[in-house]
Amino acid sequence: MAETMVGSNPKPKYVRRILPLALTIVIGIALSMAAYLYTNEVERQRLESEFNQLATGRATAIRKEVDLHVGTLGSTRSLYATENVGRAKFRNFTSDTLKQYKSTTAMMWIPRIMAGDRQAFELGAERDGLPNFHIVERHDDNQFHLAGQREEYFPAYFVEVSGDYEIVLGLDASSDSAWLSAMVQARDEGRLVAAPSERTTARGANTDNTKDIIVFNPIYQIGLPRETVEQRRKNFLGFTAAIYRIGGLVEEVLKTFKSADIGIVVFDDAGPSGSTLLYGNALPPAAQADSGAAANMASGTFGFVTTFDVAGRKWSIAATPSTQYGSGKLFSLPRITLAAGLSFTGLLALFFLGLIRRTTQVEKLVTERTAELSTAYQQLKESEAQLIQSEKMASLGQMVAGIAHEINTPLGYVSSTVELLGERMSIVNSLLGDFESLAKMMTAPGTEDGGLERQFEIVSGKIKVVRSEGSVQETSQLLKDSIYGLKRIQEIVVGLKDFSRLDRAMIADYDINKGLDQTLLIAQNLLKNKVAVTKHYDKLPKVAGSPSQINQVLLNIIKNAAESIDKSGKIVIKTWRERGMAKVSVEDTGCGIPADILPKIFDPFFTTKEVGAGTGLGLSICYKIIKQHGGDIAVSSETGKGTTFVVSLPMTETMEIRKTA
Amino acid sequence: MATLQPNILFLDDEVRIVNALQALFRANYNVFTATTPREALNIVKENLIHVVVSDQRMPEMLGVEVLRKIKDSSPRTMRLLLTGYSDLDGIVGSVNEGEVFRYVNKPWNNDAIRLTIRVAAEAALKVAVAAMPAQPTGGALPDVVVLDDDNEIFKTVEAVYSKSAKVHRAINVRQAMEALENGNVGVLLSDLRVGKEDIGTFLKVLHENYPQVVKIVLTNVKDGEAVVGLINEGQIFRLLPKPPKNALVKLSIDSAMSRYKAFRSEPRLLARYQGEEIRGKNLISPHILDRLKTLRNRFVAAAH
Repeated sequence: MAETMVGSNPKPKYVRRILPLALTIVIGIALSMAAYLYTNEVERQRLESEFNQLATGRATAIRKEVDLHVGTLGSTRSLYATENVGRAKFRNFTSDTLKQYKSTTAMMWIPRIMAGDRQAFELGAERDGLPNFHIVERHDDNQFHLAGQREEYFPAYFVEVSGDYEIVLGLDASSDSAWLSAMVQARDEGRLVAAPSERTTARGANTDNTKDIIVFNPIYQIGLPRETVEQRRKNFLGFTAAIYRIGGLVEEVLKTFKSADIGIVVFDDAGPSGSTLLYGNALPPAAQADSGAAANMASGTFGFVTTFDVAGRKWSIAATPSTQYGSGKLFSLPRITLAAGLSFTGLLALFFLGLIRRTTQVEKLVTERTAELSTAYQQLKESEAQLIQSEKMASLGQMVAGIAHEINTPLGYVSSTVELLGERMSIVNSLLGDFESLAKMMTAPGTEDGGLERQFEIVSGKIKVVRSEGSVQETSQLLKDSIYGLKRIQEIVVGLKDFSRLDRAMIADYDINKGLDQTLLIAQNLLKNKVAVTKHYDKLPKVAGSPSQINQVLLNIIKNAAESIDKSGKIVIKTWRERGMAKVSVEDTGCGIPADILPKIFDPFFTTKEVGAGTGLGLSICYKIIKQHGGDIAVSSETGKGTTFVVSLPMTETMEIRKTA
Repeated sequence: MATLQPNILFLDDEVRIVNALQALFRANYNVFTATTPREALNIVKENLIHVVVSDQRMPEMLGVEVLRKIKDSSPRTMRLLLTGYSDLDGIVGSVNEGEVFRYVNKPWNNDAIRLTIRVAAEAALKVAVAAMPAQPTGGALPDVVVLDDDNEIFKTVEAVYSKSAKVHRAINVRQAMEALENGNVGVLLSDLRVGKEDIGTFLKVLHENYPQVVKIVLTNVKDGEAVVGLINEGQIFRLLPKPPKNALVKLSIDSAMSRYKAFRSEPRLLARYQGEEIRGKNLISPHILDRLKTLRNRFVAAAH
């Protein structure tokens, strides 16, 4: 049975069960992914701003350092604000700077030599301790040659270098086109201007793959105006210049930062052929990244660029995160989120799976238990019916006991008398025979006197016996008693018939007062010799109901009243009408019902009798019967004084009566 | 001649019963009648009543109670209960309290009641009886047989009498017979059904053949009719409910021993405990019946 119930509609049930599981998995994965993406983005933004902060710090430091370096070149103006700056004075002035600022690889004095003054200058240089001094220029063969003819020459004259850096003395700075434009700009604008420094200008330990820069600082004649370009060109003396190794400079700066996983690239944006890479601590190729996501982020998602002016040029510093950048902390939160989300989804799915299993088990159990319960209920109903039946049988048994006694007593003397009369009839019969003989003898001719006399003696002797000790009176008394006894038996039998008249059937004209009398007759055996019954009957209209059932109730109450009286007592039975109800009260002077059990007396199976002595159903059945008749049953009691039951039944004859169970 | 007639008292609250009985017996008995217990007790006080026949349900007092009082005040009087309906309590009371000779149902059969009363009257005329002492006096106590498959009952009795009397344990009729044959058994304690054996009939047949063994029934069987049979045919001494109350068991065994001793010293008393003819005697196996007859002969031989 259980299986057919479960199996009757399996598909929707299966879907219904599996649906939460599937939904959990789908929604769980979706939510986990969304959370992953969201936290990833938040994390990325956080990392980006953190990175920007770090990059800004680095860029600022680089810029400061560049400014510092270039600033030292600017300070050479103060040198040239004095008269007669000679080689020694220049060396003296620059040596500290070169020592202090390691990335300054060279500082130079580059005077302007007009074409007419070239020879004098070269001679002067020889006098100044530079034998074979010539103004030279580098050609495409990477060899130095005497400088060609031109209006002005800008030979490197005082050259102070750091370390083993070398600069060819007399090299005409204006021979380098990139330098020349910077020099022109510097002269005309009266400020520092930088230019990329080709490595051809130097031989040295510039091992990194970055460019050097050269910065030109225009020097004008002291005391002469330099407000306009013309004035500046006219009073122009030459340049002080410095070469900076940008790679070294940037690396020095970066050394001061702990984290190395930021790639820094410095460009000079103002070059004639676009940007020139000045420095780049080139990042390892993306392929090295152990995490695709990190590589993705590092390569594309964020980077930092800032630009600033360096001696008339625009530089940009670009910072990019290395592939390792933040790999420790980077993206752990999103990953944890994802892992947690998926784990949670998994757990939830497992939970649902368990739930489904349990639900299946529970359903199976419920089905089983339901079957058990309905069986038990069926049995209970049957046993209740049996109990009600046995209660009926028990009270019937008691009644039968009483009624048997009531009937057996008259039956006893009637049957004894009838037997006795039978015996006596035989005496009368033989007497009659003797009489007959006597009569024959008297009428028959030739009878002896002696024989007649003997026969007469016999007859009179028998008459004496029959009459002796009041036999005749006694017999007639016994007959009267017997007639009385038979009437009594008839009464009881009729009473019984009335009492259980039309068992179960409803009639419209049940007479409560009559019912009470019938019940008292039946119960007489319980009341006799023990209880004095007083009746106060009011005139009552008939009520609708089942006589046998209502009588059963009245009998139960009267029986209880009688049983509550130990030796002797009284029962007062009253009937009256009150607010549309016919009322019956049965008041006894019995032992009463203790207050704690009074509320329970109508409960089924409640009994104060010994186990087996009563079913405990009597009053609960009474209650049911009266309720089914639309009436009510109430009780009040006082221990030691007595109990009063009041039964109310509706008087309306048209009242609809619910069918009894 | 009238003085030789036994005195008989009828008590019933229904006067017509009394009338009928009087008509039935007045020819051969000196009949007294009463319709109230008080009246009856007064008559017993003032006359030597040989037989009393009482109703059970009466105002003031139950018949059993009246009979108990008569038993105490006039032990010689043979007591009969005549009742219209018998509830178990009344029946048990008639055994334990009234110690009735017969339990008779209404309506009665005239011939049967005449016979019963004649037997009762003859027994009462035969020997004067003193009240039985509650405790057995003088001499050794007789053996007790406990015929029950419930070992607890045996243990209980054994515990009480182990020092003063021999207690036999029997779990079937055969073992009980062995104890009766071999011991000096005065009291038999038994259930009505042990194993599959119907002990009730055994008790009746035992009584018929060997009436001096006093029989106490310890049972939870609640069959009133069966108990009436045990009274009328088996003259059982006590009927106690199971589980037994130890004090009650001891009291009953003591009284039974006392009665047994009375039988031993005055065998004529046994006439007061004659049973009716047994119905269903054939329920007992012939073998057991033979052994019981042998017991009877031993008793008869001992009496002479």
